[in-house]
Amino acid sequence: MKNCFLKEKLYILLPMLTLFCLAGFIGSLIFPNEVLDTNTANMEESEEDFYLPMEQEGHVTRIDYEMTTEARPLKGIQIGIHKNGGQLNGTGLKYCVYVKEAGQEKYDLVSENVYELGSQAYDFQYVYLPFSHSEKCRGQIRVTFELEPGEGGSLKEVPSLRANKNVLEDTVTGYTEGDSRTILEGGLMISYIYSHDTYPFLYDFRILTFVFLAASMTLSYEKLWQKRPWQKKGGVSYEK
Amino acid sequence: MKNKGTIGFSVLFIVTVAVLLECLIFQFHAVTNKEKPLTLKPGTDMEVQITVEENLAKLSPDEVKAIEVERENNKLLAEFYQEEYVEAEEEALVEKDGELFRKIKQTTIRASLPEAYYAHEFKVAYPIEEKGGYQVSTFLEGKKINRNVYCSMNSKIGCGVALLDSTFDSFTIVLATEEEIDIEQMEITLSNVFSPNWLRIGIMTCLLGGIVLLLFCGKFVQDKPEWVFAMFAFALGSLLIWGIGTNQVSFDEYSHAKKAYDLSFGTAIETTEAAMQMKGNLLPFFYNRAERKLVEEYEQKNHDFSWADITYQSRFHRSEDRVYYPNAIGFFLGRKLGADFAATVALAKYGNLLMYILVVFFAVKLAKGYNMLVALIGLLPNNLFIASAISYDGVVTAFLLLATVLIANEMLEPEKKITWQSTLGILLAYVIGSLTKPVYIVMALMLVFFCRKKFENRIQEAVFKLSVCVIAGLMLYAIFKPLPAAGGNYQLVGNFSYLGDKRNVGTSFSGQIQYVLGNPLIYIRVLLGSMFGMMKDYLFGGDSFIGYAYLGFKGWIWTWVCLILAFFTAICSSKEEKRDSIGIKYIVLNLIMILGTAAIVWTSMYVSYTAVGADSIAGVQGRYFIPLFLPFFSCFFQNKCKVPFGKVWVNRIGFFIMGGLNLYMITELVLVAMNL
Repeated sequence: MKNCFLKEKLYILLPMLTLFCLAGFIGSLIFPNEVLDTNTANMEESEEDFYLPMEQEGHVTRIDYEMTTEARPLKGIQIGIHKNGGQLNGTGLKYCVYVKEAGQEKYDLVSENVYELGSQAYDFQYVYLPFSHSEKCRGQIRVTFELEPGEGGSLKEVPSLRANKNVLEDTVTGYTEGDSRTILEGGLMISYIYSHDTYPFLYDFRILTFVFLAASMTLSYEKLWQKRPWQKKGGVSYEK
Repeated sequence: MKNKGTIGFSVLFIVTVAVLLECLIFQFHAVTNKEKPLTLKPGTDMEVQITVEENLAKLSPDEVKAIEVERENNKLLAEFYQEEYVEAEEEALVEKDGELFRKIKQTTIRASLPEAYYAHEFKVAYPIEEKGGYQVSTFLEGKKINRNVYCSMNSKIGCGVALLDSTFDSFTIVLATEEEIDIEQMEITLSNVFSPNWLRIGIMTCLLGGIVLLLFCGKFVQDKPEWVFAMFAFALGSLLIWGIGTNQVSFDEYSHAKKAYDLSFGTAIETTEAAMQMKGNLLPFFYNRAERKLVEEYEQKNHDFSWADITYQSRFHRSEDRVYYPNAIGFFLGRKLGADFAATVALAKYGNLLMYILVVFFAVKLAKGYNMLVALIGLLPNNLFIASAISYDGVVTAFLLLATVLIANEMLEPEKKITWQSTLGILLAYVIGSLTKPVYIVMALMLVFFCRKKFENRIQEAVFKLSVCVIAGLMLYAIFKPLPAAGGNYQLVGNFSYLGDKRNVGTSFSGQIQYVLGNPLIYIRVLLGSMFGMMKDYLFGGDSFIGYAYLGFKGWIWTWVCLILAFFTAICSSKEEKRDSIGIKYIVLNLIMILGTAAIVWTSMYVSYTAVGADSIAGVQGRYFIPLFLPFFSCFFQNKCKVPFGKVWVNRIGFFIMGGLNLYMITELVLVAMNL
């Protein structure tokens, strides 16, 4: 009886499973899973590494970093921040992204964010700084970093960004005090964060679609049609 | 054996006999020469003469290859990152007459003991910084008493233990190290303690138990070969897991261990120092039980999750990584149970072994009239070893064996319609078995040649066959165009020009394909030469097939023993059995499929693992063709050759030879080599 029940259902179950897998295959294509993709740019540590303070003699220093992205948009960056033991509650690291369009000389602001240093970062940490409007962050870009002190104004312990003596091709690290900008003989220690799509179940669904399709093709639909169980009361027996 | 009491008594009797044999024969040295362990400091507790000289030690081919591969990969990475490649120079290496040597310090220590001592173990402890080793010679009353014994020293456990089993009053040690030895820090310990070897007891128990089972449980052996297979496989696999411990001796075990270990976590992976060394093939190796104890202590000390390295991974894994779930479950259980590192590794291996036994159990059970042949393939030493290791090959072998059994069953009944259960079983088993090695999916194409009578109508037949072709096509397509996965190596993996196995020098996926397409005739010559060369080597003594990976292989005579046994079980049957033939059509198709799959396996290794334009194919191993064994032997199924004894004796012979061969190999390659 159980076997008979299963046989009746199989005529529906196997084609339904085929369609489910087909739907899963299409769904996997339409709704991919976006993952972050870390590209290490300048992360080689050595004893010559140093820190760029964000404030000098009471003046906030602006650090900037120029680079060229890959063809795909840059989702964010990862840089080393040292809080030098400070609590920094309410203090933020303001980072802005400017993009220079081809043929233009001026950089346009495309993203502006603040990273809360007090609650989010450990004393030293390579933190991920995501860009808003990241789809516009591609090509020749400049990222600037500034402190946004919280209530109370100046800081006792000044946070700093980790840098080393390496200068990558197509990159410039500089810092600005007042109106004067100085180009650094070295570079920020940095990783570029891009993203790409993955399709976690695409492989399985596309294979299983055809597995269930093949299994569906072993059932006798002609017999089912002749007996038309849906028109008869009490079902139909398939036992020989 | 009819009741549980008899079985229980037999088991108890067998274990008692094994323990008695161990204590009275193998621990005889400790019973008759009772001496306390003696720890000596050269120069303080005994008189020594020391001489130091510089020497050169030739690097082994493996060490030379490792250096070449590292240089090649560094070059590729520099090219990828558009950096200038600067070759790193190692001071300890010297090139002489085109060969590489390592500079070593050779320290000779001659020492006399206060009195003659019978030593089973001779332990030299010294905090060396790099690799090293020593050779010890022993003397009694000025006369050399046995051959020189060599022993390696590992910097992680800071010592090396040699097994001497002799009485002596003086000895000479020649230490080979990269650094100069400070004799003050050296300590030598001689010991001869009573210490039963549980692995040897296990081997003796399995031997006696196997004989009792085969001789006294005839009906069970005849009617339930799948259960006998499961019992043999579990016992032999347990001996392998137990005996090998954390020594990484299976093919690329470290890379499999990395994937399985990572898979046992969610998105955050906690890698302890011991696990890190396992992933990097850097765990210390042991060669005897004394060293094993020290190695396991070292691993446990470094298996502390409070200072584990934390990394992250995507919650979605690549499809092909799912074959590591049996191993990953073991790692997960070990962690949750708070087991020590060695036990966790053993659990990971048990995950693989149990999965293998379960799948092959059904393959043996479902085989129609040829279940002994399937059980023999399941008990082949190569298969059993790989199923008892951290590897995906257990999944590959088990599922492909199940798939070929189901397909052979269909060939044996060409008139009978193929069922949905059989179709699902065949296709799912082929897909799972081919996840990591997609070339095997071409074996499923045998379904395309099934005759019209196996289907309901022409349309269903056409759709069925088309579906099978699409499955095979999609799986093969994924080799050339893998789906992007999460991870920082996206650019590198997705770049066709960097594809190729980086364990070998000069490989290039695209470069090799271009070469093959440009020189098809030359490649056909290379392919056929390699294929038939390997077959000739395996059959006529040029190479050994039956083996336990890096532990070693047995002589070619054993290849023939297994071959004859397989032919015997395929061709011969007892009078009470009826064995059908698969028919001439399927025999021809099977042979074509076997040749085609073999050619694809060879070609895949030429494209991915061999240097561009090479005149031979590198990296192909005999075990790659094990999934083709059953299709090959199924060509010989027939009902004419009848043996004059019953099926029980066919099964007894088969299980006795395969069980005995495995026990012999475990004794020689596992017990003697690393567990005395």
